Amino acid sequence: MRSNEYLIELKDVSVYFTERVGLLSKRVTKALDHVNLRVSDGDVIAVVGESGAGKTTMGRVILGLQKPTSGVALFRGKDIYSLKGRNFEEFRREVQWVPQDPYSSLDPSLTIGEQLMAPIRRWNPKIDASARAQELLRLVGLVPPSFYMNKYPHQLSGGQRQRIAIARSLASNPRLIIADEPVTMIDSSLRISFINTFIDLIRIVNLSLIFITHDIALARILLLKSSKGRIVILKDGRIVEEGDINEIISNPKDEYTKVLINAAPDLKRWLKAYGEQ
Amino acid sequence: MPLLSIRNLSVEYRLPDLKIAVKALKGINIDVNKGDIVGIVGESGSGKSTLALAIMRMLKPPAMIRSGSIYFNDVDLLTLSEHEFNSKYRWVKVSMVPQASQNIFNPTMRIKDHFLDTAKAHGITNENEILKKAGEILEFTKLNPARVFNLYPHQLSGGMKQRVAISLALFLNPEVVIMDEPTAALDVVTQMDILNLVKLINEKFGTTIIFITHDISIIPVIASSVVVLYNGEVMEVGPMEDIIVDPKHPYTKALIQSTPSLSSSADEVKPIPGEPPNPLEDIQGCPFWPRCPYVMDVCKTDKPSEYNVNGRIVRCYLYEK
Repeated sequence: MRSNEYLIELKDVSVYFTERVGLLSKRVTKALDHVNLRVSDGDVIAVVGESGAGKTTMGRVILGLQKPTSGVALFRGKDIYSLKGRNFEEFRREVQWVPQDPYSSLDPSLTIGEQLMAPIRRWNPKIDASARAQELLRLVGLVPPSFYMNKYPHQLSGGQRQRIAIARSLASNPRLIIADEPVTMIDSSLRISFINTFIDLIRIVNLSLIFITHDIALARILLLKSSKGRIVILKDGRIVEEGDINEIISNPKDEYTKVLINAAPDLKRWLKAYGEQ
Repeated sequence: MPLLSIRNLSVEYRLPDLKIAVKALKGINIDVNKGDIVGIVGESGSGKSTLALAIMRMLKPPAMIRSGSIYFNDVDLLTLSEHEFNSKYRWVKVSMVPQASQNIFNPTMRIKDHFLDTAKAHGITNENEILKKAGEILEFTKLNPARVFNLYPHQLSGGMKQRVAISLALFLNPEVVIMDEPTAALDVVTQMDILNLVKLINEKFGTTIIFITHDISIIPVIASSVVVLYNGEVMEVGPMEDIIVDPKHPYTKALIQSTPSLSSSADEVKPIPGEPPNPLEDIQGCPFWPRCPYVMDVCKTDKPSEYNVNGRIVRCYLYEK
């Protein structure tokens, strides 16, 4: 496959943060260390790793927010960090993100309708922004949409706010969403309903998804439901394993993957062991 | 007789601007037996942290205790003067690892000063003695006191801060330690280390632990008994094995069913339908009825009492006899 056929391609990407320690010495943190990743149209990728593994940095590189120290990040074969004019517009339109914290990611002074319609108008001035905003609300499971259009963020629950953030990320009709720990702040009883929403979006609007999480069991459910995804396990800025989730869980090659799997709390495994006692 | 007994405890947050009172705890009863690790499970807004702060008598306005008692052995902690509670109970008999304990430290103080501060607040002044004891506890939590003592909080990792917070809570050999989401901000590997440490403390010192979490999947790893909270009310109480293997309350069932495991199939994990309760709205009857698959007419009007089901307490009309 030619490289420009990938939606996103990271080639040997490293991101180093240099900190001055004292007067003369420096400390270098390798947030990403020679990472290679290929994202095709329609891909679903769960990026799993502990805090500090480089998950968010990887998302930021793909979003065009963190220039690699070395290596290149390509969008349809072109270096994201030299995109200009129309090409950059196209990149921005097609690659969007959902941030972690729905309590700080929405503008408290705008109604839900206003914060959805602004990006819709920005990207597509000709369409009926209000109708499109309501369509997006319906897509993320907020019905009836008219109920939410005139509400302010503080009038909604954390789960509802996160759905708004997802709806907003869809305003430009993106091809790829990078969701950075999108359910970490959501009550555990609702997390699976968010996975279902993402699965609907993947099917209905043919979205590609990079789902960043520290929860390997949740990543697994997402990938099983999407039936075409793969997992990427990050550790200290490196991809230590990548591939089919069930294969990796049943036969982890990397030591860290084994540790991660064994440390993940698992009700079903516990129940099975309890039953065998 | 339970070591700690919470009877009919109600706590409100008064919001004068909105002319309403948010009821955070609504007449809850919880018994904690000596030597237990009681897992308190609930989602955000269920009253978990309010409960912890009420036991420590650290609730501040606009929060206020409306009714109830918190008995430690036979003494109602809520009737003591602040001076008596602080000198005889707070940190001495009951201490706490607060939520988000990565942020509880004073950023301008070295770790050893946090121990000196804690000890001096309780009348211990011999610095050598304090540091000797603090060193022993830090070593027990698998930290190197010689190194950690002179570090500032920002120089510690999340897991190390949690170990220091636990060491501070253990400093006066309390009988009960309340841990409020002690692993919420940690990665799974560090989480497992901290859970093992908590179990070790319980085994070695016989310390009774009240372990608050939103994550029911860690309950089997840590708890010996479980209290399930929802919207400020107790839904189910019982031994850990009973509750995880055979949950009775529809909310407990649904909560377990919504938790993914590494071996669950895609379809068996189901979200709880509906929205979590809005704390500003009073729900008539059982707080879970709007989301409950077994809802009956009586659930919408009346509150179920505590039904005893094979030694377990379940507050649900399905178990009315």
